[in-house]
Amino acid sequence: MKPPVPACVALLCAARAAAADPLGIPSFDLPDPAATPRIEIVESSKSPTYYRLPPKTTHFLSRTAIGTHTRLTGETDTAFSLDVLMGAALRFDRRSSNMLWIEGGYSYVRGREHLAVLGLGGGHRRPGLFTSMFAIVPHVIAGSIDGTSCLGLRTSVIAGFASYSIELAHQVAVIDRIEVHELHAAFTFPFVSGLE
Amino acid sequence: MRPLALILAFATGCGPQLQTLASQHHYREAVCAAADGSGDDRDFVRRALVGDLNPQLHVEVVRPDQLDRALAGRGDLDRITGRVRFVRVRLETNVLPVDDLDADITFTSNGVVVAAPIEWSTLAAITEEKLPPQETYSTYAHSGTAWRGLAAFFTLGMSLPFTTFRKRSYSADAPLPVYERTAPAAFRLRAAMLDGHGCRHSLARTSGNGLTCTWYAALDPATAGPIQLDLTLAYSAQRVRHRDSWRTQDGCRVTHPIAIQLGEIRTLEARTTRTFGPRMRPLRELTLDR
Repeated sequence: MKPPVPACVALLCAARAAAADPLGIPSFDLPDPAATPRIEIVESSKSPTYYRLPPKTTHFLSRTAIGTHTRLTGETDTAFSLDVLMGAALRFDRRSSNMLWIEGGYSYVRGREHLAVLGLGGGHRRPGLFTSMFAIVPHVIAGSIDGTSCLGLRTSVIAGFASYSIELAHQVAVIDRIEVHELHAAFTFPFVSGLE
Repeated sequence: MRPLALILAFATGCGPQLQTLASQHHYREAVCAAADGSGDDRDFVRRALVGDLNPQLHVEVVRPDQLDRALAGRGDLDRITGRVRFVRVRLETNVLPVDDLDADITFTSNGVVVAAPIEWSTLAAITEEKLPPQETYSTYAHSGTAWRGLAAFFTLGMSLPFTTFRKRSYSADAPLPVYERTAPAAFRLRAAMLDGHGCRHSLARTSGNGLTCTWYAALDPATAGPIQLDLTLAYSAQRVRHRDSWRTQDGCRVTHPIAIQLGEIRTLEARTTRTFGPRMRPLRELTLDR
């Protein structure tokens, strides 16, 4: 049962409140039942804060990075690179700022590399928009370098603030049994979406 | 074992145990844990909450002589008592450390709602009176006047020759004396049940919440099946934002529906008098003779 319409109740209350029986309107005269005195239950100690934190611990990641890719083995050569990656950050619990970082996507180096990238690492970021972030994410790479199939490892160190970050990575790929070392530097924006 | 323990901790979360939250009365946390948890979690928290809330209930049927006194000769008492049984329900609770507490009732019979809220339309149907129509008022006090006034102010009055201030009309309920004149029996019944305001929060020394509730309902005396009082308690807690988060969060809410069997309506008055008498009864011990 919802309360009566407020305007009419207010007017009727005012009419009755002015005197004991101002308009000659008796009530049903139902007596007030006796009740056990009310007890105030208080918390035994300071309340933990866990379940009242937002329950979401899995956050969508999306990185679009542009930068440079420098070959260190043989003839030193620097080229433009573009990475498009998506994944998820899994915080360990509601309170934790530490997270498991999983991402995968595509990496392009102009003129020579087309790579599929899959990474699993760890990171630290406090929930919120204007916070700093740090992550170390090793990636497995597979694709083609200079037209030849390859397999390798790219280890990224990512540091950022708010929606922006910088990634510095070392990449080693095996091409025809030859290890090729490269340095990857990229500017990432937008950094993550959904991390709050 | 340590890697396995870490994996399990990761998989199951590292929050406090519900039993600990309940035993230490951390009910804000418990409400959110129940809202985010499984059905078993919610059942456990509901039992803990209602145990400490200790709701006390009182149900009383308005007798014909009490109805007659309220009507004071206006309206046909026999026809009214043939159409309705007014029931008052009172609820009082302890104060619990939650951010909000609410309660609501309804009467059902075999799953069908059989009680009407105490509104003018209900009372007019019971007393077979015609309610006064809404009255139309007009006023200059509206946003259009304010905007035109602001325009006059900022144009130093130069907009006034080109401005027409208009009245706006709105409809509202007729004044109370019109109700008293047009539907005197409905007016008196409404006035007699003014204390059926729903729920009020109890005064508390802490930031907790408790309730004092009074409801009236109009039951049809011809209701065939057994009547059930459905009481719904609702507990709420606010979420805590992460320090640097800009997003507001939805709160947590746990509802607890409770059904109390009241039996057939023809024996309702006698049985509620026998069960409750002059005292409120704790919900946990409430059984009515069948």
